[in-house]
Amino acid sequence: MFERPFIYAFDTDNLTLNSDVYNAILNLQSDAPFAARALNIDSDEADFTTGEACNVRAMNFYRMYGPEGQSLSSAPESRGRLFSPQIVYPAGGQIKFDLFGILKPSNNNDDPQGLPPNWKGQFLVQGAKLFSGMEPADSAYPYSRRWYTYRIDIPITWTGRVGPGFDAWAVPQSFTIQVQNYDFELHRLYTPRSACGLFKYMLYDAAQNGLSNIPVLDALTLTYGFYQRSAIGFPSPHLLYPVGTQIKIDIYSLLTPAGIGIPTYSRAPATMRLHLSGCQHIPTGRAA
Amino acid sequence: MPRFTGPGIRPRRLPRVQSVDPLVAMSFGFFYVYEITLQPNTQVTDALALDTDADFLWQGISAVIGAGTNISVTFKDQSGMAFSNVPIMTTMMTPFAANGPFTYFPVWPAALFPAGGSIGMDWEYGAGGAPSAMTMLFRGAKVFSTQRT
Repeated sequence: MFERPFIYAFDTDNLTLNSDVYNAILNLQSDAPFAARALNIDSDEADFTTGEACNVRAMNFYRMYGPEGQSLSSAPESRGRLFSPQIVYPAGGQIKFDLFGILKPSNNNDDPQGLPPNWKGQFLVQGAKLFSGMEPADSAYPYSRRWYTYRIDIPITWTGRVGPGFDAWAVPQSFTIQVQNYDFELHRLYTPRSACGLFKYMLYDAAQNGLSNIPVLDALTLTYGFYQRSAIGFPSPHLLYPVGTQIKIDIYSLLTPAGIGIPTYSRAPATMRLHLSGCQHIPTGRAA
Repeated sequence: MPRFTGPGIRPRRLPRVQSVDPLVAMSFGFFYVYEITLQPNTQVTDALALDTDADFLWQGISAVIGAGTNISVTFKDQSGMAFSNVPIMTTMMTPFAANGPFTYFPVWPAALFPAGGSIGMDWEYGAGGAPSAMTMLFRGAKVFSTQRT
């Protein structure tokens, strides 16, 4: 058996303000069972507790159900959580949940200039797909690990919503990092302290498998300096990218056009400086 | 149908931890403090000189930055080999007030530097309005040999 990090996310962008949602469903893909290990949500309506600007909508409470329909808590919960032990859902199954009290970001009021509300939010279950069979090959040479970081500056120059009335979403743009010199083990996606809620993204492994069912929100999956909403960080478990392969990431802009839109930091253009931290596999003369 | 985790679920593969053999070495927690003042639109190459009494196992870093937020750095080992493809942003290493000052950006696996060696740094300060004084804390451990020579 081997694992591939994966996220199942549910968009809450279009849910009615202050509403409750019962029996919401995340349909699981049929290629592998899913081990849920953490739940990431924004539950406090406020900006990042660290004071960072963040226009991600929130919810007051939620209730999540296990693979046989059993509630995972005696009462609705209000915070993201770690699932320990992990909860395994069958391939092709469903993750059911209820959401109570849908909120909007406290710093993102209705736009006076006529744009649709620029709210984003997700109910995001993080874990791993469990595949049977042989584990993918490790590095083909004996190695020792050495701390290493790839940095990529992503210019988000395009707006998220396009067309008359800004009612359609722009197509994503792909960015890649070439893995050079040595195999690279990706442990965590970091970004410097900055505003969040600016984009969604889809990360791919070395074999170009997408690592989430839909693009996931930056705010709920990236580690902002020392701060992360995810209880386990992303990706987890780590990913191996052999030398010569590419780390691919699709960026979905959530920015509003220059000069309009609230909050002002969510206006195009913006640059997101992603740091992909992990370690290189340095060849050694003996078995690792 | 799979349910909760059990013996059938193989534990996740964990990276090995770099360790120090207590029979040949002893380690003590240690901080190296490094200070520099950078001017906007400049590049500076510098190094942190390490003490000669013990090897240094570098495990984390923390930065207190002044006026400049557009400052990045490439760390290099004793052989000049970089720890990143391009400079990484120092704003990523500044602790949040809520976390307190004693949080560190992880250097994992820890990097071992020889006694008397140095940690190289290539600094870049892009567009900015004022000189920026910075303090970096290199957290780790001094590793003393316990073998008789």
